[in-house]
Amino acid sequence: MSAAMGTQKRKTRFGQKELLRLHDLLVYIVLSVVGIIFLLPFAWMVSNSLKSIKEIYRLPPTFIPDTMQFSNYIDAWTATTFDRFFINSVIVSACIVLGQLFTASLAGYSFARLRYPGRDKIFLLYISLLMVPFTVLMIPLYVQMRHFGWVNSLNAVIIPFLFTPWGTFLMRQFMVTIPRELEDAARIDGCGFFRTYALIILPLTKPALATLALFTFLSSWNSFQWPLIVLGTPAVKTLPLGLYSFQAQSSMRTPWHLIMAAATFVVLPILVAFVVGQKYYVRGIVTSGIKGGG
Amino acid sequence: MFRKLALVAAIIALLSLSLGAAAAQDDMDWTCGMVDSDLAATFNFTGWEGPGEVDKFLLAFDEFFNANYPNVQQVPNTGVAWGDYWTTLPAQLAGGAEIDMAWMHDSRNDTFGENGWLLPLDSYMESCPIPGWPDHFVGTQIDAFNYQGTQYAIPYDWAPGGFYVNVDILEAAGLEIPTEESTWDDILEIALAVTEDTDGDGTTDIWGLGNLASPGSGGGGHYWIVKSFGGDYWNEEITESRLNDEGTIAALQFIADLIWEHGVHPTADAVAATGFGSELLFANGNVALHYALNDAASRMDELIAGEFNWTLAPTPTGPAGRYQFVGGSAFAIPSSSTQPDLAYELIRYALANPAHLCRTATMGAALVSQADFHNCAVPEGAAYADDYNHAFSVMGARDGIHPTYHSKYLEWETSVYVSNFDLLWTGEERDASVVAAAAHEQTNMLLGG
Repeated sequence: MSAAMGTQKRKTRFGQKELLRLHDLLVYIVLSVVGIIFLLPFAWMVSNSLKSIKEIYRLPPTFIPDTMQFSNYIDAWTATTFDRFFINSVIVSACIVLGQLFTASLAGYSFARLRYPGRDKIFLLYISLLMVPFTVLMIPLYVQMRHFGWVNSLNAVIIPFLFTPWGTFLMRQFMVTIPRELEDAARIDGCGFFRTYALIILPLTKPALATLALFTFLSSWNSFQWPLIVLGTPAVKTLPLGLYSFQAQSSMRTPWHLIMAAATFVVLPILVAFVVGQKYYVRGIVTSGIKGGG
Repeated sequence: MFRKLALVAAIIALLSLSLGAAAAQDDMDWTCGMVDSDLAATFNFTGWEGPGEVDKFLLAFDEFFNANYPNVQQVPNTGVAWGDYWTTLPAQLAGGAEIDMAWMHDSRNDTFGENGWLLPLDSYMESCPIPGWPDHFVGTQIDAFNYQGTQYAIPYDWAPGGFYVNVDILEAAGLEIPTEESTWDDILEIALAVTEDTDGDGTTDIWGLGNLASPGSGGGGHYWIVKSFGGDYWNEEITESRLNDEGTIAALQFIADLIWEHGVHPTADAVAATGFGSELLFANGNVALHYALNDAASRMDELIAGEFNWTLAPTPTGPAGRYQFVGGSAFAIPSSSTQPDLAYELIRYALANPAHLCRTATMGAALVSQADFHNCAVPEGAAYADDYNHAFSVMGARDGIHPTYHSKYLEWETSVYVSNFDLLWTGEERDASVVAAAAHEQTNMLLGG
């Protein structure tokens, strides 16, 4: 009897295992389908970047190019000062990422760890800036940039974006989860605020810093509207504006094959950044999201 | 003998006179003496036209600066797409941007004029007149850039609408190419006759009409149809909406019915499936009568690449008469320009120098606002040249019309016209009177507010 029950139990366990596997399989299938749907536009971009303009305009559209036109990449790169746009984008993104990491982590440390009158009110006031849409700020910011003589200068797309309420919020939320005992130990060892921040807090906030870096990089690399307003000179334009300069008023005059090749250049650094920082990206979001609090 | 000699002498004299005149034109001083020729400065200008479209101006600008102000450095910011241009330019001008010259559209002129973003040009035009102004310029376009009696921009090009005709489709069906005498009923008859599911898969492969309505279509694009049905958008004083007039509703219902009732016009989904737009459907031989402006002609010819015979035809006459859409662009000087005198001299040169007007017209397939150069817009020897000239230049000049623009037009077009009438073109609402009623109410609020 007990042997029979044992067999039944094993059978049930085996059945549950199978069920779990089937469940996993279904999840994987669904996720794969969703993944493919998300990848399709990128695949379409690469496919079109390798076609001739005539093939792009063919109806019905083809997915695999008749002949791979790798020269589109060279043509796109040389059609305009793409190297200049690329360098400008690298400078802008690097400055903003480093700047935001510095200012947001310092501000986050202050709001999370230091005690001073009105701290929480100032924090609330600061993060309330998140509610102000950028469109409202465009004209005043433009006037400010003009007074500083920064129109048509990279300063205009870097300096106003060195400070971030969202990043400060992220860093603060992460820092409040770090045990205070570590700080106390540092103080006993003679560390002041800045050494505690630099030697204890900052190394422990790597996942949040990585998340902030990745998000900031993505937004500054793709930033379009503000640079479009404030950067008119070709020498200071960034990649999204360079990409945009290919577009003609009439869609039928636009060299789509070159745009797609150029778009592939533009997307590549983002892809690399995401692949490299993926682990931190997910961990940072999960940690700061779930453990956030006072 | 004496007569013959006299005739030859007269011809020679005429030739020398015209050559002399041309030479004099070449030697003409295109400056107005307002700017020091040694001026060393940057000259910023902006526009929405992109690569392959803006070159027509850039060549003229290069010539002007090289010949007259070699130390001026041009800083072009062109190719800002249409939609973004009308967001960024107001932001820049409201912020006091040092833009010396801006490409302006007739539908936007009044908004910019009223906000004080553009410099009035009348005193410039009085002290240093533009050759040919105003008699040789297209009247509708002069008016379009005049706001409350002040000229804020000088029209450079204008674009009338017409039908691009797939001659092979019509011939195969034994149909004639429509003329300006054709009625909307004739057009519908043609469209019904040629619309076909050629492979029998249940979806239409050839449509009779194309590009008359698509999501995002602005009010200007339908105004000529509305007028031809006896409707309008507002009264003459621009104080009251006329969107719920019988004629207006009839026109908009007619367009919507082409898609949903008769199935002779591609749906928005069918157009989206091309990945580009209606032009591609016509260029691929899927549309018999495609509505577009004249400036699409040369590119269309390249895309068709001899695959089928095509030509151009005027738009039809409606129950209330014949109207043809015309729109156009102009050069304007922002009030924050640091080089307004220089900008005016450049505009004057670009608008009136015959040495390049024809060249720029050909490059852009543009009808320049100087009527003397209308023949230049179509490439020499093009098979469609005669029909092009008739459909666009002749009929456009005769029956050209555009909505009465006003300072709230920009706001109205996006927030009232597009947001309401898109429902008709996407099929979310099939009854034009329902959509028109909502748009009518909102327009009255806007005009009265």
